Amino acid sequence: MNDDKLDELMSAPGMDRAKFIRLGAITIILPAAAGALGGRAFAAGSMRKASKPPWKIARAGEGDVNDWVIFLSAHFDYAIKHKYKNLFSDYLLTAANFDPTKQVSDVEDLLAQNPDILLIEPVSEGLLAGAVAKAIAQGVPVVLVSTRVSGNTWTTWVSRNNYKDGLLKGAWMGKKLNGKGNLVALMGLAGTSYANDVWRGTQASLKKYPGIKILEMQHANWSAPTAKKVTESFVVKYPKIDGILSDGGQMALGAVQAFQDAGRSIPPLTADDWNGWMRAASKLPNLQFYAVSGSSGPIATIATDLAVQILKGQKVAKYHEAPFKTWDQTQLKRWFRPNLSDPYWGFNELPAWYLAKHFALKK
Amino acid sequence: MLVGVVTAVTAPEFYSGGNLANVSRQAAPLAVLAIAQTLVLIVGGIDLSQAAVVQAVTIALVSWTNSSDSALPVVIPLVLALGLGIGVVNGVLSTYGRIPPFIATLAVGITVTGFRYVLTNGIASGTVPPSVRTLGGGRSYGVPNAIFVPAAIALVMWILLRYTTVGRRLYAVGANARAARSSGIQTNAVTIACYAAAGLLSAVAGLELAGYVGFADRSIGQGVELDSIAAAVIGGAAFAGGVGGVVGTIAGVALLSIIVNLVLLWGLPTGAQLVAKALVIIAGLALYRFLSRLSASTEEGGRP
Repeated sequence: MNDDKLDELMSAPGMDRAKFIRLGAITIILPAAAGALGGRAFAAGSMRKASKPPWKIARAGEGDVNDWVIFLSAHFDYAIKHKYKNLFSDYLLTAANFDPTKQVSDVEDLLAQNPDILLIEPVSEGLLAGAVAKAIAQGVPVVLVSTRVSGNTWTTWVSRNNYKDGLLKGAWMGKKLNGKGNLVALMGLAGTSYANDVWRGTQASLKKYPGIKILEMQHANWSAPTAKKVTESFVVKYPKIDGILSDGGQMALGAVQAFQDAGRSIPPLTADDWNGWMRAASKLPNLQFYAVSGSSGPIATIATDLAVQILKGQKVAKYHEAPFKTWDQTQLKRWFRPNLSDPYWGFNELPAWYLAKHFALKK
Repeated sequence: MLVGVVTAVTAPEFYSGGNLANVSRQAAPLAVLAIAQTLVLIVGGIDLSQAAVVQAVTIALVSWTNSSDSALPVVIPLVLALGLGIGVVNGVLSTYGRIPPFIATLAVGITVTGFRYVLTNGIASGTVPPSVRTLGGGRSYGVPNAIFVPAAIALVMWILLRYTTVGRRLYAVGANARAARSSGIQTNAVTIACYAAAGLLSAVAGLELAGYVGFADRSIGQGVELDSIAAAVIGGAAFAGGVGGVVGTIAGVALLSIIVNLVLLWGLPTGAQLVAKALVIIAGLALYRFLSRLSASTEEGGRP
């Protein structure tokens, strides 16, 4: 992925050009000023002077509060402690538990321990910008994981293309319904760029199908209980629902249960590669669904690879897009692992021994 | 009544059998939690560990039963004992430990969550046993099974609080602990018993919620302690203790549950849903206080 892609992502709604330039100016001035005050200014995106391993790597994490982050942490753990065990001497880790103020403090604490590189999963695009600028000013390259921060001082950013995710889901549903029918939608947490981008993509692809009507979209926060409650209201309000656009398996699971409890047949729906969802889907032989992998694994793998490249002094691009896979119910057996726990995700690069050790279903 | 009229006009589908069943099932766990919270509020305490208990019970249920009914005769007493034990710890810390209940129960809740993460590595998997699923999601003769347990608990607690010496002791301890002690009531024992009962009821609510959701989810029960406090306070309980009752609390639960359902039937966006919920809580509380004052002044001979 290249910098053109970054421009495309940055020009998404919610970040107009004037705002982008203003924020960019602020975040360029900040590290420069910090450097002038005694820090080692580090030019974002440029080559770093190579240093000899072993290195000290720091990660300001979101906190393992959901299955997505648990899997992300597992990939970092594997990559740093096993895949690159000869390259890293220390793995400094903090967990913000989705509290941006704590994450700012976490970054300061990590920087005080002089890491060679910093991985951040920002829980706030605005609040973490200053912390990132401070790290860069201290000469510590920063790899943004999943979410970006305002400005562009960071060294590199790895994310998935959530807009494309939405495009794919919308396109599948449009074809599945032959361009005609009533849909309801369950999206992630309101106000997050992730949920907004998926929804924008979904709507964009469904514009090709004027015969498809979106009855209602509600945010169900990637939570099965919330999705169930919301879908129960959909079932009461709308006698004819032909498809469910769900941004993920957890919400798909809640939606399926609501339809089951109401005694209604389950319409085609979208989901992902979360093992808990696939476990439920495997018990419903007539279910029709389409999955776009939501696994955090590829993001962590690429982020760690990039960290190594940066520390070796190699030049890296400003933005990297993590890949994802798509499939439908006919390929469920290929992705579902009944012997592994729910927080396992089908699309990943963890070896079998690591999965067996950390994700085996306890009997 | 006001809510009923507004509902009939703006969302007539609310009164469909299917929707009323949905609201009942959604409200059932909150009803049990709110009754538990009412008990604690009456003696002048508060329980912020409810969400942690609910989550621990759900994860323990799924893990220990391996999603099978066969282990339920052993596992259900165990998870109930877990809730009871946590409640006893809350009570002991709040009384003999002299730790303010707000801090004591918050700390216990955090500790329980921490232990859950350590023991499960934050990982939960699987579906709840079919019998528990039937309890939270099934119906008998068209009536949601989920309401039977809360109804029984509400009836027992209503009788206990209204017609027994035990109930009068609770109010006495909450209204004036020193005076209660002077009159021979063992205030610490009463308070610990209330927290223990609240812990036990929280575990029951966890089973109900697990049955409704149907699988192990670590987000289950998030924020329930605040909803239970809101329902109890709307229903007449007070942080100062000494007041509150089951009937008012059930009314508070009904109001909160109806509003959550209504904003979805209205199709409001997320932000508006939250604002509507907050406004109804405030309006419900204000209306209750106004009616209480009106009732009190009428009993005193109609003086304002």
